[in-house]
Amino acid sequence: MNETLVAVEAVTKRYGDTVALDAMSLTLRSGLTGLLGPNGAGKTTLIRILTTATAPSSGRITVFGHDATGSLVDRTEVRRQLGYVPQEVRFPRGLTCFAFVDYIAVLKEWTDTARRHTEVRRVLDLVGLGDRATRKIRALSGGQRRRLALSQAFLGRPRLLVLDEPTAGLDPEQRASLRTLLSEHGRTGAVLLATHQTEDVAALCERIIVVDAGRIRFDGTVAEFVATAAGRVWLGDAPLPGALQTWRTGTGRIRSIGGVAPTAPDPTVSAAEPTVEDAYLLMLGPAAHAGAEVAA
Amino acid sequence: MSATDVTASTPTPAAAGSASTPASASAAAGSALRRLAGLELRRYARRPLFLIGVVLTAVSAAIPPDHDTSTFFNSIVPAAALGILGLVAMASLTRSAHVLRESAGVAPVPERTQTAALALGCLLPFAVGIAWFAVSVWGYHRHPPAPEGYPFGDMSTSWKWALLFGEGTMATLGGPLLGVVIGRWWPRRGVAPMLAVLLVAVVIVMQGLFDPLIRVRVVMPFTYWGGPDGNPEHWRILTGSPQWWVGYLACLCGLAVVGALWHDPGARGRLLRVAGLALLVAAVATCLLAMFTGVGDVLTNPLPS
Repeated sequence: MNETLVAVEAVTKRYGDTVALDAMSLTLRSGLTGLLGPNGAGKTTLIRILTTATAPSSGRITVFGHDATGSLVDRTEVRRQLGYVPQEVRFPRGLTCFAFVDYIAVLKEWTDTARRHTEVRRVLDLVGLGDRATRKIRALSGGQRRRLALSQAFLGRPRLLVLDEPTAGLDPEQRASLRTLLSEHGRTGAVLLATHQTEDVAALCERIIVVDAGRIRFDGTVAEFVATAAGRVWLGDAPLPGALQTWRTGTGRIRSIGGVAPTAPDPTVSAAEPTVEDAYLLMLGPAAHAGAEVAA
Repeated sequence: MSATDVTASTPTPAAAGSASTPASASAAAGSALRRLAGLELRRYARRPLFLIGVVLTAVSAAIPPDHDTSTFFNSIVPAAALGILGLVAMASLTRSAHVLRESAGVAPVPERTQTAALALGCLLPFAVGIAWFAVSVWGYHRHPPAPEGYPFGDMSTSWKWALLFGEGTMATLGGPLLGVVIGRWWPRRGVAPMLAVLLVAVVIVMQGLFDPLIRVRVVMPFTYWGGPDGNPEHWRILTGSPQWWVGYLACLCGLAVVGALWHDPGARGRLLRVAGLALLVAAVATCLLAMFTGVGDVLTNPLPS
């Protein structure tokens, strides 16, 4: 289970003068990995390169032993073992849920009609749309459309699942169901989850990679990541001076992220249990705030 | 959502895991092409514009042949209803196929296979066009045009059938193929109808209504090879060879397929370059032959209609 499934070696991607990825290196093994970072940090670029949708300017990526930056034969092999949900999915007009997934199944080389239809029904059931298979996509709600977009990624139980903002638009119950699905999938393959939803990462992932300005800022376990915020999150009656972020919680107390801790004992201020979000905000500072605002 | 059977034995697509050799890779591509072509054919068959085109063409074929021209001026109906409307319908279908591909993010079946499947989908309107041609030939034999009508004189059978096939049937293939090109290169809504209107406008101007354009009119994908003129009205036969013109239109169809496939950078291999160049040379040659062989001067029926 600790076998390296994906190896990214010194990958750089430039768009003109802009460096989207700067000599990035990482590996992925079985299990769930959360990919965090503000907008424009390079998450989607990394995902597009990993999934062979875009070629890097330099560097090498190996997915299941195949060079994802190599020949078309190699890239095709990578694509055969990959499930990918882009950040924004458009749907063609007039198709039913079944026809949508069925067409994509053919694009994924499911050419035997009987087996393909069985597989299409399986993935629709998996995302809870089995009873809506014959419905037109235009009749679906936003959350159902997102689940439909997710369903195609599960075709053939791919060994690598790459999801860009998979929970956007899902209600809490649907998000919980997706977590169940992904955690099960993570037992046998690698799942890379790019998201702004830090609670999804905290709930699901064993590992977190934080990218910023095309570089990896953090790569470790969730516990290690949260530990970077230990002793830097406070609850008090007033905002702490110099705090990066403050807000009034439901209990009426002020939560301060960062800032100058009281030097003398203050009965109104107490250390709070940090979360993934706190650690993220503290690690990226104002850049994280900007990203979070956009994401919200 | 349900997590049941996520970790069950892994199903694989027929081709997956076995396509590392060129032979199995090409078998996988061939199989995917057949499936996609079948899907695209069915999707095209359900397009309202195609269905409207079929109905209009069927109605035109059912109308009794004209006394003066038999079935020779009905070709505008399949050309417009299956060709021009087909252009718009196929551009929309190609756009839809593009969106489906984007939804998958990446897929092992390359874009060129999808494009080839869309091109094969154009065989559906072409088949209707062939049926129209057969009905038109049958109608001509049942009710040939009057001696004062059109065509007149001793025009060869191949001249007549090439004319009907080129004007009517080839348009039912060429229009949808042009739709695939438009859908691939300009996948924005509204582009196809706009270009269709532009094409119709240019075709009208180039019909040979003006004498200087009579010879060069054959560069257009639709043109008439005769028409009424003067007062009293006499039917005329215009210059050129419709037989070579059909060859020219076939080359244009081939070029459209190459142009659509060219959109996929992975398809731009030596074979496609050579095919494109050969078709271009053949198109120029057949166009020139269509202009300068066959009927040398405009012929006028001495009998007034």
